[in-house]
Amino acid sequence: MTASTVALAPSAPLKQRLLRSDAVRFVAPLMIAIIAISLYTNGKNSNFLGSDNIKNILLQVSVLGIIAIGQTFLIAAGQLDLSVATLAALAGVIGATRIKDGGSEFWAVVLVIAICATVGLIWGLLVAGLRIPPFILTLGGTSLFASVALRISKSSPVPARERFEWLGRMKVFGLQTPIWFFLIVAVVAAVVMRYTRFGRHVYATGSNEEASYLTGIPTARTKVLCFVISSTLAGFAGLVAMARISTGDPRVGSQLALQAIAAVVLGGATLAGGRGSPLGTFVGVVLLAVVQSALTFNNVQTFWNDAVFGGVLIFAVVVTAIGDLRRRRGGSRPTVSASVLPTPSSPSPATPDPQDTDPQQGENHHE
Amino acid sequence: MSSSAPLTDVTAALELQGITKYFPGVIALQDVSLTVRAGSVHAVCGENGAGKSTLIKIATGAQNADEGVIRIGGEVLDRPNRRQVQARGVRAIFQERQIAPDLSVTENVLLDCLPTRFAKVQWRVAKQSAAERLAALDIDIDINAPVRSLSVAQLQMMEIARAVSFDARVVVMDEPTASLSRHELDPLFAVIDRLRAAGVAILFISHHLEEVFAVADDVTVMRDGMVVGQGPATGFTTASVVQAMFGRPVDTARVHRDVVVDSSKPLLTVTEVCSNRLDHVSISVAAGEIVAVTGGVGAGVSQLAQVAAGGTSPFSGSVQVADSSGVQHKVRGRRHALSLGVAFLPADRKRQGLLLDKSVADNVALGLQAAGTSPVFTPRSVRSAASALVPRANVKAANIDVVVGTLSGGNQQKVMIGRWMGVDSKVLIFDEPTAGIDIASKFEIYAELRRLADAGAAVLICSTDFQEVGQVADRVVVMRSGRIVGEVSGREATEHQLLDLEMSL
Repeated sequence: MTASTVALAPSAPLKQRLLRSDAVRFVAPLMIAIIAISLYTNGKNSNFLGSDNIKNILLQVSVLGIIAIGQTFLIAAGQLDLSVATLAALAGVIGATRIKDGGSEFWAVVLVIAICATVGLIWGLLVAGLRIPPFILTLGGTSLFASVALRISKSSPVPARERFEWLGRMKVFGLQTPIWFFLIVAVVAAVVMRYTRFGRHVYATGSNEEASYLTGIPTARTKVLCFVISSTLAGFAGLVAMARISTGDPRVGSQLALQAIAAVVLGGATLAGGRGSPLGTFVGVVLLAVVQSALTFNNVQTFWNDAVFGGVLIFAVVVTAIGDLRRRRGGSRPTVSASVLPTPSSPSPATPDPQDTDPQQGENHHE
Repeated sequence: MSSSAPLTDVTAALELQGITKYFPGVIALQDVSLTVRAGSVHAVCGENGAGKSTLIKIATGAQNADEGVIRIGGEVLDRPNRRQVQARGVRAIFQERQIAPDLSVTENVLLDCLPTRFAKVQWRVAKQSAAERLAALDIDIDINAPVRSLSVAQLQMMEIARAVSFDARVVVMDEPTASLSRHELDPLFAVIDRLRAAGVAILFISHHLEEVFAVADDVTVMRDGMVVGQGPATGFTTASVVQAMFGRPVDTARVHRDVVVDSSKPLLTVTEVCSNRLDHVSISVAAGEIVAVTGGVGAGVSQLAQVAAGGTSPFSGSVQVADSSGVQHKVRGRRHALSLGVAFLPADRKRQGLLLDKSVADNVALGLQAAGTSPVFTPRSVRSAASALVPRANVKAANIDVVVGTLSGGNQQKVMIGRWMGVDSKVLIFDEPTAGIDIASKFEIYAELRRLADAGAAVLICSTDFQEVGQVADRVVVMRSGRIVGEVSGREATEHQLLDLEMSL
């Protein structure tokens, strides 16, 4: 099957590819929103864009960010894990308890990561092997982990004896380590999703699992790996959250799972799978944090926080849906230049049905 | 060949006059005029991309023409929407099934008009009315049967019954025979005859010319968005329609051959396989051979393809693939089969074949992505692989970044075939390889399959298209109700002979 290469099919022009890429369609509007909110708030209080507040925003959001990056893998593969929030709390409690009982930091971290990876493995095997809907399964897990965390901590925060400085409070090049962890996780995830075979398997599985399986994509293995990645990152995020306050709080961050999913969706993912990117998630997380911080700076009463959070999410998905609708319909009343009209006597052999072409695109491929 | 009815023709149920439709940079339809008379069947033929789909969309109000006039029963409609067109008695049966599989036959037939009183469904009235509709068309389906248990042909009849209530004036049928096997055509044609006798105008879209000549009173041939031939069906021959469709004669010579293949060392061996649709099926395909498995819908042809490709594991029996040194390996799952060099093209391209929301490039590269071993797979490698494969598979798309879901069915099929052109496969299992593809592309695909076989691949084609298997296969195996009932050599396989084998007991 060697190619006696005839012609190469053309790509869409770079400008068009850029316009249609996730980076422009989802990330750019979020960036604009972030900049607009920042400039507005900064106009009222110039501390908003001060380096202290920017660092503070990133610090506040690092735990959520690490969880959301893990969730991005799952959602792109068409899966979901609601149990990451309580798993993170459980991870923090276990880590702190190990220290309280006189264990070493290193083994505490290894133990927690191993437990969380195992949890992810179990979720993945159940979902891939028994075809259990992950929503229900991980909803069960949410309650289970919350209970176990309360049992281990005996319902009260576990002090971690000011340990784990490197995980939560140390500064490297002026930034606290949680920010670095968030950035590193996001960058590594972006590279894995975009440039590796595994990353492409994730998108293929999420886009059409049956077609991918029949082509020969290892869909089961892909799903299991996504659960393992997500749970492991959740456990790590739980340790970071614990290290920041040096306390394993069994009730920490009960909203983290839904906020993480919201951030992933803001970043361009759909829960149907096949879409979503770590870059989009990163920007989505930052937007949520900027909004939160702006509300504080503008002295908006705190009970509005959830309403604004919900409003941002609804607004984003509606705008995305409208964009998709327009893309499906193509241009409604286009202008056609005379040069593309085939003369009636000699029809162009490659004037395809518009269904065969992209409505956005006038350049036809002749073979 | 141009002879349209006078514009004031009182019998004209649907008239399209001078319809032109622009898409950015493309003219989809140019000055298309056609008239469907009451009580007649008007067939529209044309290759993929000739503009048939756009014409249907305009006729049913799903899209509006940029120029031209639509008259329904003499009434001029200006940029009508779907409801306005429907209110004037234009009904459409689309190529894709529109069925709610978990509801009853009654609900499916009356999907858009369940009788209610005070928001409560009147089931007795509903059942009676559904039964009446089916009876009026002489369709034999139990209205209490679960829809999942119906055959494809019965589902189609059910859809026709839904579309055609007593007030239908024009019925548009888009490729109604695409999913039917040969002996299921007669009931469809009988229904069409009944409608015609009742004075309904039928716009019949198909590229199966045999069927066109079996039912049509008038024929319009389209190419590149223009009408290139129009008139009474009696004025056309198959050859003249084909000539008009393609603007050139098409080489329809058989591509099978009579070279004896050493079948003692098969590459693919299916042994005594049983599953819920297969009953002790054994078949083997040697290197260089094209074997076709055929049968009616429900014969288990598609199930055999799934099992042979490792997509479904059988209850009992085994599938084996020989490696280059002749050692047989038992297939354990689809991915294992792929590692042994088995390519698989499933029949249901939307559900089992394509990533509809992804680009042509992503879809074409999926085979490479599954078969490859390197952990790195960059967007750049996807694009360069796709640029080479898309022309080889003859996909007509503006570029490789077009979303696959927006392509026509034939081009989607070619994208799936292109997927396997980049993978070095020893065994190719193609289930309905040319479903929905125009004649010219069909022969290109047959020729490509022959090239692959000549290069040493074992090719297994599962198809319900008797004409196709006769044209492409070296051997034809006929199945019925999950069992093999006969085998003939490709040279001897005529449609009649295969039909006899399939029907005989």
